[in-house]
Amino acid sequence: MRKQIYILVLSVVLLFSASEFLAQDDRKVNFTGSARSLFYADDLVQDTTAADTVTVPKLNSGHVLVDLGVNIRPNKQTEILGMVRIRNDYGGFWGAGVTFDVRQLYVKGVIGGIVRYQLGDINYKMTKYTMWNYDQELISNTSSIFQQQTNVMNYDHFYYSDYSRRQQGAAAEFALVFSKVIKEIQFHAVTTRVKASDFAGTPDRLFSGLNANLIQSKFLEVGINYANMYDIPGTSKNKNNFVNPVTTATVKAMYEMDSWKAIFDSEFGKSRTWYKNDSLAPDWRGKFYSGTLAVGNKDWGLQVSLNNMYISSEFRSPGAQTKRIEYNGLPKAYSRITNEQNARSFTMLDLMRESSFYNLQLRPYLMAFAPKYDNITPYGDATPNRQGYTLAAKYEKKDIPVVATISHMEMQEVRGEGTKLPRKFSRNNVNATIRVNEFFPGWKKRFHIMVNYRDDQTTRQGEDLVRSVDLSTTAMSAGLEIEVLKSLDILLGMQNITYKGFDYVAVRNGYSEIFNFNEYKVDGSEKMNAFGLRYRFSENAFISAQMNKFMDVDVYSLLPSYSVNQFMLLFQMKF
Amino acid sequence: MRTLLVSIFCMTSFICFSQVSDAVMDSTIHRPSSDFGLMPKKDPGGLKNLQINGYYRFFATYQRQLDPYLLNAIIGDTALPRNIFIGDDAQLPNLLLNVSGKTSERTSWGFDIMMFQFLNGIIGTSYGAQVVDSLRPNIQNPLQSKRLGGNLGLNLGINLSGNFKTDVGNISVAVGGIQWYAMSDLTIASWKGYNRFMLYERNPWDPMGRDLSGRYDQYFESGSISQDTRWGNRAYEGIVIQGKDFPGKTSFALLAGKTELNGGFSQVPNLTFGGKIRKDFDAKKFVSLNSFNSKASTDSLSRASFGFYMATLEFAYDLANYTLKGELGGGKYFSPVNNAGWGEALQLKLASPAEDKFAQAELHYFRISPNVVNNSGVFWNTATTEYRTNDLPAGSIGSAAVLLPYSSSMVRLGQMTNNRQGLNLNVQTSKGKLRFSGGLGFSTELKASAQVITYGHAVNQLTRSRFWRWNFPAGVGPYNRYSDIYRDIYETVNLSDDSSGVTIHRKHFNTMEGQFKYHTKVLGRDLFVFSILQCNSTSRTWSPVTILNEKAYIRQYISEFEMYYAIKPGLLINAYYGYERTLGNYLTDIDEVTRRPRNQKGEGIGCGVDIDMGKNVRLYMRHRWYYFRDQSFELDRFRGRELTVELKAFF
Repeated sequence: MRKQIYILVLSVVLLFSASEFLAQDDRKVNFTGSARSLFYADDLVQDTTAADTVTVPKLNSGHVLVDLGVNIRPNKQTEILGMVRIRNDYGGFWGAGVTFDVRQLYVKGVIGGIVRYQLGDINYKMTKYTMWNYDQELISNTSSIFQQQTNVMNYDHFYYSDYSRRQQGAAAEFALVFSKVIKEIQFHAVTTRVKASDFAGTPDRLFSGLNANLIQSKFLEVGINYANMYDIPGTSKNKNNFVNPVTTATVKAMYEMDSWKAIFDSEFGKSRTWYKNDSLAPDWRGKFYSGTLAVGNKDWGLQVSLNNMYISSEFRSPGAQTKRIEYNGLPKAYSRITNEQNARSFTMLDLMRESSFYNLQLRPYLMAFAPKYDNITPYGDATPNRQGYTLAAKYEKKDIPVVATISHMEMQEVRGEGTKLPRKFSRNNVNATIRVNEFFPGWKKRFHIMVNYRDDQTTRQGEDLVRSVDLSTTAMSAGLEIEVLKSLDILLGMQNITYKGFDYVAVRNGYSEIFNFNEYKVDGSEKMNAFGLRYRFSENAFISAQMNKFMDVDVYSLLPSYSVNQFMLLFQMKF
Repeated sequence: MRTLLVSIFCMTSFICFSQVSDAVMDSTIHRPSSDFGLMPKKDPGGLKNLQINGYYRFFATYQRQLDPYLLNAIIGDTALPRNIFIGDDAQLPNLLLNVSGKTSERTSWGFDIMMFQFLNGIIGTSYGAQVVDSLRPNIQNPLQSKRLGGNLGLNLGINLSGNFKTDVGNISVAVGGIQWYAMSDLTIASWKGYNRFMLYERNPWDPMGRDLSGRYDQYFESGSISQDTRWGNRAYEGIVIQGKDFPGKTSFALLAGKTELNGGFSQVPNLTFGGKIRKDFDAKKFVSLNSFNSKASTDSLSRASFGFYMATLEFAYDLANYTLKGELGGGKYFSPVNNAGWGEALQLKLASPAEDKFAQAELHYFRISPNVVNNSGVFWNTATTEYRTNDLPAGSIGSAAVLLPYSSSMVRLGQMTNNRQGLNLNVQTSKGKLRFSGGLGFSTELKASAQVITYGHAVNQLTRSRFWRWNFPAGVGPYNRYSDIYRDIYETVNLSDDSSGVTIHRKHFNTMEGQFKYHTKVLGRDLFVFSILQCNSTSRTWSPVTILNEKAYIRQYISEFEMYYAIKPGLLINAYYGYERTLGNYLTDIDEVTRRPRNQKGEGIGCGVDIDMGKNVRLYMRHRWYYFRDQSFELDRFRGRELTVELKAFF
């Protein structure tokens, strides 16, 4: 038996080692990174009777930068990456406006051919309820022309499509492969430093995660996960130490028969959030459950799924609930407008390009959110105080150039906020991507259409002193990509979000406890229409110019209706 | 703490466990992608081609000033008796690294890193001594300080470029930092002149040549020497799209961005833009429509703007090997205080065949209206007071004054200015070991302009400019009449023949220039002798040739000679002599004591060596005795000596 295992292991190791060796660049040093040039020309137009003589209406800005990473391989098992960001702001001559800085630095490798590790900057992901970096609002399924700007933001903030989080620390992982009963067990461990002590009131804060994932066969996978964000006692003079462990289990069962496939995917667990030595702090114990049953038929290209979830109001998981966007603050561009210099609130235009709103640090509390954009899942699937179901259908079939999904979500709060009555939520979502040219065999140039529609409703009956809640949000976007000459595309895009209604927004204290509510009343819309050209030099390099008109209207805002005409030029290459 | 220990323990146990377990073990790096843990699972690839080249240049100056020359009369600042300076101007580093990467066959990026080293004895954790005191590095806490400020940076910035082929032509795109670009003389370009200059004073960007004598030999044979990419071009920042090989031999260019004159980080719009469309008929015939424009907001609300428009038709035509080149067009300068409308700008050049056995000649006619202002073109603005966004005096940080020339300038042969029309005749010929190139020209103001003339000093030009370091003050020197500009100074003359403050006389300018080059062998080694003679005048009466009497406001005679002799392989000696006389008449500034106008004499004597220190490495040493005296203006005199040492290596 032992001999058989040994032979199996040896074969696997040799096989993969050989392929790895062949795939690996023999050079000890190579270079990786990205370069881009980005230029904006903006023009603010306000719908006012008296001309605004204070606000600067036309703004030009831009930069060119290179992220040059040096990949050093001291041996075949170790790799060191140091990446420098060199940035040159638009308008600088002879070295003026140049900044140098380190963008990332890590070492990674394999210990003894067994344990894979990474130390320094790491991107890490666990499960949707332990560590997961959910998309920011409104960016999912937008058209290519808008994604260009969003992708710049995501790249700058290490937001990758795999939903991993950028952390600084160490991680290790390895797997055990078995010949019978169990196919494989994977082990993952990570510890990152969320905050460093200031030797006074702020202690060192770490995030640690452990996972063991058992792959029994292609039919069954079971995992246990542990994630904890915690202060290290004694690293500061503050004796109140935050601790937030989350323990979850995952079960994934799959079954295939002929063209049918069924998957049951679930995760459940609990959390505890408290401050050691702080008698005023709450001690929350939360729990959650999420289960999805999906049934699909390959021949039909259709998959239908039903998800049921329950997340208690006390469930806290900083690794999953920390948002990408920090909604407290003013945009840097046109931060105050009108003659009265009223503060301009965050819009979807800022979402696409305002770097200062983006957040990378795990937060021990629930961050502010914008109900007008997403009042149902502001913290993704891990949004606390939600229970309900989602019914979804997806169409995706080989050789048919259409991908479409439709879903309906019905949710309600587990516990009412400020009243015993829970809010009720519903969401309808439809999106589709059609590669029209592929319907015609001779049509090689791309002609892609993308549409997305989302409709959200939040309601709650009123009581004596509590007004009824009724907030609706409708987001629509559509895009076209038309290749007119080889690799030269015309891009068109439209994005429209309308919101109307009333809700209460919770005001939380330092422990994230609700102690008051603010009235939240909106009736407005944000629209964005764009037209552009893009030339694709290669898969990783393109240049694009686009004109974009953004319009904002809100009846209850102190600001007048306004629009921003934006010209953007982006030349980007990755390597 | 317990949790931390648990975590560490778990990690450690996993490692230990994995090493002793009987179970099957494998590195996850070899495993199929797992959607968990460290991301990304897939190697993102990398750049396969990175190039680095550049140069190292050590440059040191020792100046011994024998007289206390008054640099700034207002504050009583005088030149120090001795001055040691390691380094060169602010844009000229000791080490320049050009780094470029090719991300695909058609796209690349590049940037240059420049490093300065002043050998100023301030030794710390980094070369931070040039950073202002408040930002100096603290060796106990270096990360909290601005350490890159003074000695490391980018010179031209970062550039991204790409090109692609279409069915109808090839298009290239360059975006980013400084690109060196030229379109045409009247739109965007820098003046090349007739390649008449002295080689004794080296420019930082001068290439080295294939061997020690190569540079001088090339200058003798071809009349020009190889220059770096900036020669004839202007620094341009932004996007440049160029199309070539389009049907009908057409090509085009589009530009949008900034030149130095509208650089800066204000977000208020301040742009330069233009383009051209050109059709070639054959190698010597083409026609091109060019345009170059600048528009900047004068206020934060962008309600008013200033700038210029420039549009020209450029062409070349060849008939019986006689070449006619020209550029015809117009321009307009506008601002809240300027609105004179469009004016004409044109130049025509008729050249005889280059193969002519006797001599090749070129006739150059130009006429540029005072309304045409374009500081990115080769012509100077001498007639229109440009709009300034601030009134900071020249030399102050943020001042635009030094960049906005205004007065009637005495210029070299072929150099154009606005508010002038002129005719220049140039010839070049050779006989045996002797080469001659020279010409004469005259030009006249189109309308009476300012009561001011400016002129430069060719002899000891760079030495003078080094009196004032790191900024470009105007109105300095003993009589507040010198202005320091990049690697040069110019002197301002005030005229008194106005009518109650109104200029009534148009000025006429004459130039004569001759260059002799001689090459022979002495004791079997190369000997090169070059000289340039100039004779220039400005007056209020027209003359076809330089006026040599007191009818001229200003007369200037310049003679410069230089010699290079390769005494052995790898060692070359050189010598220089320059003599200059500048005379004013009684309609110019009069000294209050002597009651006489300018009567200046300048002299420079130099010697030096060029030493080959191996492949691509050279040492250049120059020693100069300099002397200047204005017999009428007692305080305007200086004398001294200057030693420069330059070690240059290309890689």
